[in-house]
Amino acid sequence: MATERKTTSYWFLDYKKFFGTIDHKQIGMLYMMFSFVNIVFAGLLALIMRAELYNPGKDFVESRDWAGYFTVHGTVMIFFVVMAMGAGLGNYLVPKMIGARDLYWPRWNNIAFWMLVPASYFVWSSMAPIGWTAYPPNAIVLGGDKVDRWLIGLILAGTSSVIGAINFLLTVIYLRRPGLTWKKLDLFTWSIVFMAFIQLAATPVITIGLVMEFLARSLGATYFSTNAGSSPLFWQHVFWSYSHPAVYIMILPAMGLTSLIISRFSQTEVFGKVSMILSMAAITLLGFIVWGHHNFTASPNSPPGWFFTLTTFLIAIPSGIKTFNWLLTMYKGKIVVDVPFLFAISFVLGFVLGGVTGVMVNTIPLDLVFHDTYFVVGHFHFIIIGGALSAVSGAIYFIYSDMTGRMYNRKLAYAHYIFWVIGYILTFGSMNVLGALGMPRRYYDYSVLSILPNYDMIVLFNRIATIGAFMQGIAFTIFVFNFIYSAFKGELADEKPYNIAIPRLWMTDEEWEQLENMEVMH
Amino acid sequence: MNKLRRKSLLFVLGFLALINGLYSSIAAPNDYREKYDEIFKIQLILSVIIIIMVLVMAIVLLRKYKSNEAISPKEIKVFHNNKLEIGWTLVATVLVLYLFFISLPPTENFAAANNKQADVTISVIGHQFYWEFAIEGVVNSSFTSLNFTTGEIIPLVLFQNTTYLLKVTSADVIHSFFVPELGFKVDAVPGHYNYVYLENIQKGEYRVTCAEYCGVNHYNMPGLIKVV
Repeated sequence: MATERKTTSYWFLDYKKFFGTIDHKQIGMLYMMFSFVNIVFAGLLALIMRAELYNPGKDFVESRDWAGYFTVHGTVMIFFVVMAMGAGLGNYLVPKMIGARDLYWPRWNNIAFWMLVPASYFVWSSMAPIGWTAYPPNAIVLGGDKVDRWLIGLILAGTSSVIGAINFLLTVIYLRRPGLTWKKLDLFTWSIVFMAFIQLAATPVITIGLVMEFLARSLGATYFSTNAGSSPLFWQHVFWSYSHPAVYIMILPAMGLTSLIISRFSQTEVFGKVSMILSMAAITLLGFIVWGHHNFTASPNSPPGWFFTLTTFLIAIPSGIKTFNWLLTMYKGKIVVDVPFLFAISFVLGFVLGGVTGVMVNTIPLDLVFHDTYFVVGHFHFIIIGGALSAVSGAIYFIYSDMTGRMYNRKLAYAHYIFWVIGYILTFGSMNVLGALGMPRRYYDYSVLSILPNYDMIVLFNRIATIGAFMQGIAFTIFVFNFIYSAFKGELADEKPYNIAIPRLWMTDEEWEQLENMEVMH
Repeated sequence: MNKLRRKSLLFVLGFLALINGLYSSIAAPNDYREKYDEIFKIQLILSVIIIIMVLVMAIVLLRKYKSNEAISPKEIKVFHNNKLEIGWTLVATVLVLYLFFISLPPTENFAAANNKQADVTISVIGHQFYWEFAIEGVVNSSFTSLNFTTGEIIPLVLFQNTTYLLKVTSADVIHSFFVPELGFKVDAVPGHYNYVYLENIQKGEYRVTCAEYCGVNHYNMPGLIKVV
């Protein structure tokens, strides 16, 4: 086993390695660090917004800055936190899981990562007041270079994600250890394959869209203008035909991590593995034909609305199958209740809460009220924070000792867990209530809603949401502290607490021995 | 243990009864809102059942199979049960199709507004940052939702026994005409008309807000519909 590392190596302190590394583990760690830095600042933006919303009326944020905050919060969290985490964990784990020494293109891997850094600079420095959806005409008529910076940042991020996707696909196709057939491939690697497929197929669409918007701003192109026989609605179709699949780019790796963690800690094989793979395939393919559910209220009189409702409802079926498969994976297992396992359970909870609210918001008679209210915000934060980020946190605890050679502090990790779960349920649950009460999203001040019959409730639930958000802030502070402190001062993990290399489950003893020899060689 | 189970069952039933009671006590002011309440109630009850099922399964399995002994990879068992898997796939499919079909008639009803004949057609035009209303075919009937000198909200007055067609569009960027208590919102898109058919609204005042981000004062774009 690869337990020979006895001390921690601080490779990232060497600037040549820091910028030039082509090692998949180190690039994976760079992705994770990058993601941590971004989540801290984008999380601070969220806390500023929630603090402003604690009381109705204007407190300390200017209305002019408000839109910049929610735009950057959304964009950064999607492209530079959750997607970067997916890429980072994929980088770290996939070669280990398939028995490869590195990714197929190590140098391109480095380039793809370093493209994200200027991308995030452009997005952060833009503070563009457009929302992450950048709907024209608003995004086109705004003067200054804010929106242009945002567009350049996203074009770079998209390019990076396409390179990463090609790299992952080539790696899994060509570098699998001999004998590891597609059927034996573990569910995390499968999830990265589906994620990479979506990135490769969908990202060019948004890149073209962003270039079109850029040309519309800089050269006066009329792609989205009514005068030229087009419509601003055209952008919404371009945008969502990428951005809905993009949701699955964020959630698929988290599903894979959950399968990995739950089966490893229950010491069983995942229940119904074939149906798990088929479910992911179904989600991937259906994900491409559901985008119209974002446009129900944009053109309610045009017929295909029901079509998108149907396709979106169909996604609920594989999602439900996966949920029950995760739960039944524990059946007759020997469950080791440890930090990563608890986070995987938190993923299932967040995914179910986000899932049932997703079904609600997809039903057109309900969407007519919920669309663009806090209900939608609550729904996707349940999926992304309660779901994806829980799974990612669990995975980081899972590979922590392997990354740093040290063990994290368990007590702090449990504190992180408790604050995190209670925090996200309070915040996003309240947001769902707020949406049902009629509070639109992207509101800087909700005192204008005071004639609504349930205004008292709106104030109350905004306060609960803010309290929950600060609990999540505390949880994340504990996480970051634990992460950094334990990397230097934590107990040495001589004996690996978790076996994260190729799952032994499908191997004969000779195969396993062969593999161990291989690892020592490299 | 038995007592605990009975208590939790009572708690769940009580919660469901509460949802039921909450929703039957408020009378919906119009069709759209009525359908919204009806479907929302069904979905809320189903969701609560699903969430409780998942939590109970997780807790029961965790308690039963909790263990700290590591086992050798050879002992790892693989479980799968085709009958069970096909069974719950079918149940999920039926459930989802049921939810789809109950939502279809109100969906079609709302979407068909542009084919309906109404007594009065009102054009609703979104501006940064107010609404403009005008009765089609009546000269000089245009007025704004906001009195610019006093800051007062000027209501759009509708009669209960008249049918209306709202023709929603925008003069600048995209807005969304949102009336939560009447159970609908519809985007105001420049160069594009969206239609809403209104009839038989209960007398009262209903708040209009903007639900699509439209600029600095997005949060402050109020309007009022008054039904007499």
